[in-house]
Amino acid sequence: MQVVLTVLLLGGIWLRLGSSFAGWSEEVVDAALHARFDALTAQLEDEHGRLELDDEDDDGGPFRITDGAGAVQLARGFTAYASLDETPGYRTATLPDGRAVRALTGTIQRRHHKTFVLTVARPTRTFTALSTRFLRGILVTLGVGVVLGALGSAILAALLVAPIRRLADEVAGLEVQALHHRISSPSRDPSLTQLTASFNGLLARLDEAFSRQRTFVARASHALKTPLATVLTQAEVALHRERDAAAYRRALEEIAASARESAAVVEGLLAASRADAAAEHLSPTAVPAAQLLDEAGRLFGPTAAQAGLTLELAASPGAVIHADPDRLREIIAALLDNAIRYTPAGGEVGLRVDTLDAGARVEVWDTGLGISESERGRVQERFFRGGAAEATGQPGTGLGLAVVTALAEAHHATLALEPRAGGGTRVVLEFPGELSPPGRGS
Amino acid sequence: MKVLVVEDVAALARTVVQGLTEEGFAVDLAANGEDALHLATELEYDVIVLDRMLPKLDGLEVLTRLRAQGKTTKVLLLTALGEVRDRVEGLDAGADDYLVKPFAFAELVARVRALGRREHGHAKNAVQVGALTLDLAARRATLLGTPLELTAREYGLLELLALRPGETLSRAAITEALYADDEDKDSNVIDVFVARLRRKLTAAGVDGARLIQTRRGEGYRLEPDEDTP
Repeated sequence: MQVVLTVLLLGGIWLRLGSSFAGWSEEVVDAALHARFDALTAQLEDEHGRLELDDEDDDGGPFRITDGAGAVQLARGFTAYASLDETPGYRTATLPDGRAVRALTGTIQRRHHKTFVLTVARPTRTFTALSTRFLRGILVTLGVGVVLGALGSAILAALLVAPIRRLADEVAGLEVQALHHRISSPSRDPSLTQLTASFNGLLARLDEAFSRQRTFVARASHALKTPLATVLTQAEVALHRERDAAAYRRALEEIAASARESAAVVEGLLAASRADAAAEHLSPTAVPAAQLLDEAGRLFGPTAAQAGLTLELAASPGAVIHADPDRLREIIAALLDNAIRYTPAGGEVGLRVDTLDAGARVEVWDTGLGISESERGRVQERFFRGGAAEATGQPGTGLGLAVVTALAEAHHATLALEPRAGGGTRVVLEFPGELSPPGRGS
Repeated sequence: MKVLVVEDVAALARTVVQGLTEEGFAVDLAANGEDALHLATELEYDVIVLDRMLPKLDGLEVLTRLRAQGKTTKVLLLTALGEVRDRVEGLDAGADDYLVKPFAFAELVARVRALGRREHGHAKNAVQVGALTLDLAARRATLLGTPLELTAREYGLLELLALRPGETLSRAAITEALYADDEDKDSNVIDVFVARLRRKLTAAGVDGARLIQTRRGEGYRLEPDEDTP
């Protein structure tokens, strides 16, 4: 393609320059003829009816002077041009030997109004040959220029592209397993250094995301496999030998408990993935606090009573929370469940909703074991289980608060875990007043 | 054989301990990494069954520290992390075997037994010590081709001594090896077991008192050469 274009371009230049040169060489010859004509006119002297040339050594080119009737008065070097007629003005003529000549014929007046006819001629070949050679020179120069330019730009491009290609190769060679690897800048060029830095930044973020994902998968598989392993082992150990009815009953009870825990882990994982997706699927409405309290009372009243706890429900009059009602229920259920689990019998747990200037504050509190200072930053991590979980041996997945955190974020609500004066924990959520349109998460 | 089970999930730990105990192992339990390291450092175990994800001290860290102390106790890693990378990591840290949760209990027992056997240099479950043959899997002893009728404790004592022929074991060491940490222990009971065991051996055709010798002030030891016919 480039070759065709180059050939067309050079051909165009050839034609254009060719015609220009043709015109130009004609003009040059004509100018020379004109100058010669004028010079001769000035030099010629009329010596008593005979024309004489002032300068005997004149060698300005062939000329012929006739008396206008065919008789040659004076001529020099004109033998070859003898066949030229005396048409006035400039013209191009062909000699009998085939050569092209340019000629100028005009009349000159001398003494006594005597008129002579002067013809000067010059072969055009010299100029044509010269212009052709000139044209060829230009074209060769152009051609060589094109070739050298192409070569040069190819080399330059290769020099510029090589580091980018090295970078590309290195990036292409990266594997998910080697995200901790960092690319070294292939040259000191600032823009390449910047590009490398951008790639490395991307790698670092990918590495972090992958490592978070790996940790999550490892923890999730641990959380799923452990109760399954327990169920399996309990069943196998129970079946390993003959036992009495009471021993089988005990084994079955343990198996049921472990299976329930298995189910809770699955439920927790599903809740976590729902929470991740929540940001995109929120249908926020104004939820009346009274309704929320009523539901919480019916759902958790019996559980709290069974655990020997008092459940306190309170709300400022007319308080509403702008949130997705299902997600809000999930948040409150997870928090109340935690509160009941980690509060020893005889204590209190509570849910309180207050109206704020813009929005609403939802608080779940308890008089329980509390969260130690050192654990406060970590309890929202997935699968993290605190000292209270270990101390009480409460079954759990370590997903509850992580889910609450994700759901709160989806609602643009703030979440704070605080120690409660007099012991226990306060979990305070502040929901913004405006409904955030669905489909737009943080 | 004495086994330390390190597992933080209470229900699973309880079950594994129960199952291994029923298989004749003396089993101790540690629920976190720190306790595990302490027990494994202070006491002698034939095999440690070690969970990887543990509170306080990670299982792999426990293993690394044990090996750093020069402890060569056989360790079986029991864990939910089952990828090749995890297994290689575990074995490289010094584990002798690896079992991924969920596992078949029978396999755990077989692997623990195999590790215990290898701890004493035996490649097979059938162990020949002089005229005495022990089947470690079935927990049965045969003397000169005659099966011995032994209680679990008596067999345990015989196995303990037979796996260390010529080695004198104190009453305290025997007590520790035969009983789990939380069982009531009385080293005087050992004398009673030894007496009963000797009677049964004598009844089967060898001199029980010469096979299991008393080292005054030191303890007991099994001398297989004395009884080779």
